[in-house]
Amino acid sequence: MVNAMEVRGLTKRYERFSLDAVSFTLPSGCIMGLIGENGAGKSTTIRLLLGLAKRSGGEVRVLGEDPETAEPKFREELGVVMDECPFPESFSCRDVGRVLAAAYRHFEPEEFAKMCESFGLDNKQRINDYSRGMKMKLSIAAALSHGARLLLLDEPTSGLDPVARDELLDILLDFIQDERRSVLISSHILSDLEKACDYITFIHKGRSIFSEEKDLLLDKYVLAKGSEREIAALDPDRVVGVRRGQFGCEALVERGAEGGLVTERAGIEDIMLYYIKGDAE
Amino acid sequence: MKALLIKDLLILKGQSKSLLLVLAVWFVISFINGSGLFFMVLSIIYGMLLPLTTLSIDEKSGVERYMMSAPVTRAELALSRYVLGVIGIAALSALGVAASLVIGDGLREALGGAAACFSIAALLLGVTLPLVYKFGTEKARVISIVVYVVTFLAVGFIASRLGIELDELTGVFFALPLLGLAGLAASVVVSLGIYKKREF
Repeated sequence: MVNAMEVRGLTKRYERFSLDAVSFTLPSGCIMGLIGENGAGKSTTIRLLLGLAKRSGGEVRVLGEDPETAEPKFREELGVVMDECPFPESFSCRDVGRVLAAAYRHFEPEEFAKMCESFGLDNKQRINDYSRGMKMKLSIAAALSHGARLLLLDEPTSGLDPVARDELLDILLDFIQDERRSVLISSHILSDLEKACDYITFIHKGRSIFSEEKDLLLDKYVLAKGSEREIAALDPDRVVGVRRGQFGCEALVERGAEGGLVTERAGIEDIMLYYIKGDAE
Repeated sequence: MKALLIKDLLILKGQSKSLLLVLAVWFVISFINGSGLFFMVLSIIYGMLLPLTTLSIDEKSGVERYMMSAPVTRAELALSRYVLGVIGIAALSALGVAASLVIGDGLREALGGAAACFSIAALLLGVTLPLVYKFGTEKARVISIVVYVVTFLAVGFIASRLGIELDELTGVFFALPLLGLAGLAASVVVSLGIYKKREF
């Protein structure tokens, strides 16, 4: 299987923040969710993958190319959705189409118009008058209208209502029906990613905590419930984090280390929260 | 480059009504005064401000970052504002000459005035764009004003020291656009260096 993205030890140093040796691999035909709290380094990672900022260290291959040195035509195959709609507010859908037609050799105006129409975007209405959901749909239509093989989406679901979020996930699942295509999506709305992603990469304080296949990850951990004493008796090397409540304790533990305690399925959100909490303690 | 210029022209299209209104008011004032110079000076300087207008909207919308994720180079992004500025200054210089002739100025006077204004606008653009690229539109606005004032005061001081009357310079006005374009070329080199290192 060819990899759409290979990231090894990606590092970027700023005065007040560092992205420290982030590594992951995204195989073609898959969706990877990049998760982490606000300020963890998700957007920085995406900027480095696009060559918008220069990395301090590490190796990056996006569709086989180093984004910092690749020819501009390499970006023909990337569809990008930023966290905010990047088009000037005085623009209409038609204006966006004109700019895209001049920028991308393989821009498909009819496909773009069809998508805008199916998203309920008025061709002449100014972006200024769009809701957040409409702006995001316009960004997605732009990203999907020039034959991209790899979509990079930075927090596309934040601010969207559940219906719009569900529609977006359907679009992404439809997009990867062609196995040559792949998606990297960052979000802190983890229920969305749990539905759509094949792989999850978790970044915390600039470091990648894990990058795993989602199903293996969900299979790896369980939530164990018990008294504080029972939880304390578990193998500490296999306990990720503990949450103390009024009526007992709950811990995220590796499957098999629950020691006969009552368990519950752990979701991606649980895993992320316990890792962060464990780190804070 | 084409995509960047189309983006800029579409941004300016949204402001075309106010641009035309301002030009019309300046023309009427010049017409009443019986001299096209007022219209010419203001309109050509206005041409220089066009790329700065689009730049401030670019900054606000984040479209620069988006364009850099498209098949566009850093050099094209830096150069596109120069191209837009020179097109704007040249178009408004031609309009300035036409307006001066309509108002009743002589052809030599109109062409000399346009050449001088074109050069000054080109030089100002050359000074301003690297500042905006380096510091952003807000900070660069203040720095630019200081640079303009110091430059004009210095030129005035040197001219008065040497006993040169501005009228005596009319003859060299026709050579000034070359100076303006040379200044722009030097400015482009600086801007390309800034964009090469820039992070989006």
